[in-house]
Amino acid sequence: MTKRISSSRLGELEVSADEVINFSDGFLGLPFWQEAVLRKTEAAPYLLWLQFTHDPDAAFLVLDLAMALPDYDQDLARAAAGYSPTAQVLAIVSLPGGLLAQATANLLAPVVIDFTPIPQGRQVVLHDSGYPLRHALFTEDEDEPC
Amino acid sequence: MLVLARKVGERLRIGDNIEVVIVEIKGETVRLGLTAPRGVAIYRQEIYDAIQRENMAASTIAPNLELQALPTLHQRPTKT
Repeated sequence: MTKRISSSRLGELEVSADEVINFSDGFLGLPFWQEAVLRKTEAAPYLLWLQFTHDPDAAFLVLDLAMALPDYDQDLARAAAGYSPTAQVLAIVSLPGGLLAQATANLLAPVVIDFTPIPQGRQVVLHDSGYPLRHALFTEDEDEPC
Repeated sequence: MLVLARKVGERLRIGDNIEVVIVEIKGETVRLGLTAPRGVAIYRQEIYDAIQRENMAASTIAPNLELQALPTLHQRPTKT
């Protein structure tokens, strides 16, 4: 079974029911962002769109941490979510001033997605982990402590 | 706001499923132990506020963002 959703970034998307990820808790500050699909960008394999189904404008740019930052402790994030060892671990990207060169990734509160048995996800907080809220991706700037 | 006095080792219960224990009091710092069901997220207030702000900031990426000009990832340790 498929449905069509529209995305400001990706245009019209054909989405099958079994790829829709359920974030039943929503996100801090965005409690109604609860249903999304993951789509590749053409820019890089480690950069993805998490497009929410309720609003074409609702999307996060996310980083696949296994690919982008291999030293990141994905198992810590999976354990915090209570998900399986195969769950995918992503970081939400922010662009201060809208500039790609200034992009930072939120490593303190990663998004964990488990596709089995059904696609579900949640944002977790890695308390006392030492991971920063804003990890600069493309510059040598020091991470901002939070 | 309900204000209660407790000694080290004493506990509080919030509803049926949430337990708070005073672990240690040292100078101006109180260490608390918290037990809650998995669905109940616990945050330090300032972290909660910071993550909320960061999520909101990340939710406003311009739809016409040009991703083709992606710089090379800067590889360095992720922990501070």
